[in-house]
Amino acid sequence: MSEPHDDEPIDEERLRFAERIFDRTPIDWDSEAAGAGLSGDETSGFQALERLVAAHARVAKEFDEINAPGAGSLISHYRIVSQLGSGGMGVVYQAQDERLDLGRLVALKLVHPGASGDDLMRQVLIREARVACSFTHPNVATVFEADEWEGRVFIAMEFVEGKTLSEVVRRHPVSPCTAAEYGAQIASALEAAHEAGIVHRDLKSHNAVVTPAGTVKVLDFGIAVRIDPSRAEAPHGDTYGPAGWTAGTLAYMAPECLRGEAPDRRCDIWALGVVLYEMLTGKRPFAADTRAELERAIRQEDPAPLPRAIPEGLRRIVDRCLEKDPGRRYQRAGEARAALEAVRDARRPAFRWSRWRVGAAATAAIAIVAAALYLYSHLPRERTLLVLPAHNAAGDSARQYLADGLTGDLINTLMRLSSVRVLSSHSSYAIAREQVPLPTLARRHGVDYALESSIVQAGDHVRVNVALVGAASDHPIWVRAYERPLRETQTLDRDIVRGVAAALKLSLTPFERAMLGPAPPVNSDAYEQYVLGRNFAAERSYGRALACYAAATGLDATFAAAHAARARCLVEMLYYRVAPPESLAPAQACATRALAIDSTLAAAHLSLAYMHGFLWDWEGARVELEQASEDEPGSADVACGWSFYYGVAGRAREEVDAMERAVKTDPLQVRYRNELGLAYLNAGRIGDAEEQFAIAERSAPSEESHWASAYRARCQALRGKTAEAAALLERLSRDGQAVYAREELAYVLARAGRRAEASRLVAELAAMPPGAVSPLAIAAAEIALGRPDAALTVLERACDQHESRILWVRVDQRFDPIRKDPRYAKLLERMTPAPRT
Amino acid sequence: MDGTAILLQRIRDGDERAREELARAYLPVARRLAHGRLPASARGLSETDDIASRSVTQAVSHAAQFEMRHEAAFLVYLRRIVINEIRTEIRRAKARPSGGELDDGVAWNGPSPLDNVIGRELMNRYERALEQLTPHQREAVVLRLEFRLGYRQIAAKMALDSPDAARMLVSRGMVRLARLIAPQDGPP
Repeated sequence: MSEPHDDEPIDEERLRFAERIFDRTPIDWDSEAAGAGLSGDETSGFQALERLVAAHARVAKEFDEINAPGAGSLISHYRIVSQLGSGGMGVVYQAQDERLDLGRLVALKLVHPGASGDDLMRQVLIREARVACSFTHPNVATVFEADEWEGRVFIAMEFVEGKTLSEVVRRHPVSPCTAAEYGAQIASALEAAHEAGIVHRDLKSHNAVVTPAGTVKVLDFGIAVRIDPSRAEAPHGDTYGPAGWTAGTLAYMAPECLRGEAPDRRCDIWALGVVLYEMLTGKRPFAADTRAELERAIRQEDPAPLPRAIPEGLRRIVDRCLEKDPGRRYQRAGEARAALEAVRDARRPAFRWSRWRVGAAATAAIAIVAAALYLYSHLPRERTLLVLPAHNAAGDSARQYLADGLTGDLINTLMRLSSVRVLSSHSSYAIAREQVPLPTLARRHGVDYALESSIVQAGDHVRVNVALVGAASDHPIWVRAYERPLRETQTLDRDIVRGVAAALKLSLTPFERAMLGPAPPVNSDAYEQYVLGRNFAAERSYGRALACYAAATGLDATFAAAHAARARCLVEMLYYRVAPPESLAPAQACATRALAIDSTLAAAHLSLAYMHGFLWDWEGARVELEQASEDEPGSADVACGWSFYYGVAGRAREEVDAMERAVKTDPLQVRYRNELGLAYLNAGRIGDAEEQFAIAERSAPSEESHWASAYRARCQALRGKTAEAAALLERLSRDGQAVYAREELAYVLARAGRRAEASRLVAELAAMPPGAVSPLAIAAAEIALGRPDAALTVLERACDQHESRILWVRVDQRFDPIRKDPRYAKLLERMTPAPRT
Repeated sequence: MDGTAILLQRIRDGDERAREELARAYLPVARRLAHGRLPASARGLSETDDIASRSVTQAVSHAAQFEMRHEAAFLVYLRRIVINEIRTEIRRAKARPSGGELDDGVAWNGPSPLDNVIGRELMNRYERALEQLTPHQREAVVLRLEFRLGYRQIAAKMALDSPDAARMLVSRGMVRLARLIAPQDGPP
């Protein structure tokens, strides 16, 4: 045999056999070897190599299994619960985070050590996974942590229950409407990620989980890569890790990635097209026997056309995602999301119409009806009800309280039902002020039904007319008149809600049925005082509200709702520091009294949750929040309470989720917009935060709208626009003695390098009376000034005084620079026990 | 320059910490290599770790003299040391007088996991055939077949121009290996 050299001529057929052995594609040696002209020795040699490849794969797998951590063992600070699966990249476990303040379940990916042992490669993987840690979105499984353990990389992610899209599609393709819905959710995740400068790089149907609630969660942002969010295209010459490092799965890789070009967000849009195609057909757009052929197909061939039965709009979206030239694809995931949502929304009415027709047209083709029902049942949405302010039919302003009382009671009682979403009182009044036709409101606010009512007093009785109206059609679907003695007005809402529940065929739990049962009558004067108090509290006229509530409970000591409202009012005053700490005791007494009369009052449980929070008793807070959620599952106020609870625990993603629920229920409540903006900030979603603050700023001028401006300035500073931020805050500071603006200004000036001014302002703020300034703000400014020790001293002193405003230090990204300081760790320990579940 | 090349350069410059880092980075690789080739009956955790750690120490101690073309060369070098260490250990065990509860000689003479799957004879033929490839082909085949790396990773580790170049190098090596590995008396 001649001396070997690297380039000796070898025919294509033999090279193809070698490649197929590694691709593990079955080879029929009897027929194929002869066809390729292989000698007997060559054939047996290839067969031996085939066995060698299989043997090495088997032994490697065995090694991984032997060395795999078992249930109960620790990987870093994660205790393994069970193995969820394994793949080419590693093994995935369900594990529990054992750090003292968390205890959450996670999906823990332990990356195969691989053969490289390349330290640099591991560092790249960890670094890129850590980029994803700062990013949260409802459609993304959050990456919590990435690090090394015994020379292996591990990535801890949110544990998501459900089925992967690949499992869903394996059985049959999904409907166009569902594909559009799921696709829109994935695109929404990509949109947010891209805005945060993150490209997924490995989007595939295996990496998207559909939860039982119909939400799609995109997994595996752990191998994302950082890009400049302002650029769609990757700059030439930029490197994205070591040479040759390419992540991703071939079948989902865009042509330009196969050419070795650096990935940008349009690669994700290509992968979205592949996933959409797969959802619609059950097949991938490109398939081949070998990797080389698959690469060729992706680069050069067009996918098989989608079936004509798929709506043209959806086919166009898939085609555009799968354009070979990235410049011809959607340039932003937001464009794809909007297009998919348009297709989804255009399809929905037809499906709903089909559903209603099922009952009417018994002779309709069963298959078509069944399909329509299936499609409708797979639409992941709930019914939304708008309670319009009750009409005071007599026009007598002295009796307006009856109309206001009825509106509030109906909303509160409907919110206690878990099977319908009810817009909050605040939003209901604001929407009603728009004075536009109901179908317009339906479109604008996603309302399905409206509940209209009118109330009039006739002697010692009240008469109430109620109509439940289909919002899109503006046709009543249920109408009813009630007449009750005046003293039973306060319990009328239960009768009406029972009627609404029956009309909407809501499925009520035993608890809900009991809650809607008969209630003791309430003194009518006490009820009037209670309604007036509620109106004052909504305007933050706390003193007058308290006086009304006190009058109500004085007139009727058994009026549980009035006791609960009084407790809630005191808690708000404590929260906003307009009541002294001594108010805690009477607040507690009111809440306890309310629950002694009616143990299902969410307002009372929520008040107690806050009170436990003021005392840093997180277990107590959790128990009360759970009770409040059970009593009033649709309450925005309770969702807001949960958001605070999670924020204090350092669980930024859940903090955002809860606050998004609150805003969804009460979209026009300015305070919630600010709180959502702050939650987004804590989650590192500066763009989303700015959007919420901008919405709040556009509302009628109020304390909340001014706060929104100050918070928006913080966003600008975090984006590096410190001059603009300082200018905005200086203007706000000049407008009045707004401490909040000066608090933010101190931080912004420090970030802007105006150290002398910042130091001066910090000193001024620190000299203000105790409690007037947030220690968190002073500490943040100290950090920006490069004085971490001073910041920690401020925080420690605040901790000594049990100052609740420092609790957000865990999630506030301004404190990232001191996270590794031992004093910071001690501070956190002193703030424990923190929320656990 | 990749991570390994940087570490080797630092070792040549006398950086002792680089030596430790290199050893730490390659210990898991050596354990994996040893696992496949150690006789199953002698493959306790301590034996695997001993072999792996001795091999890495030896490879790293020669690192300063090692003329590093690319990382793949170091990987294949380490692989060779692990195999030699195991062979030495097997020879030693056979030379030891038998006795006691565990017959050391018998234990070390048993089949390895790879022997179990494909037979020792084929493993021997494979090793012999591998030696007859060009160094480049040998590295490429070992990285693909044993380390189970993708073409992009192979290209990176061998400083090749592209994954396609790696694919071609591996495929040529495999075709040649198929001819060399075949038993002279025809198909089994």
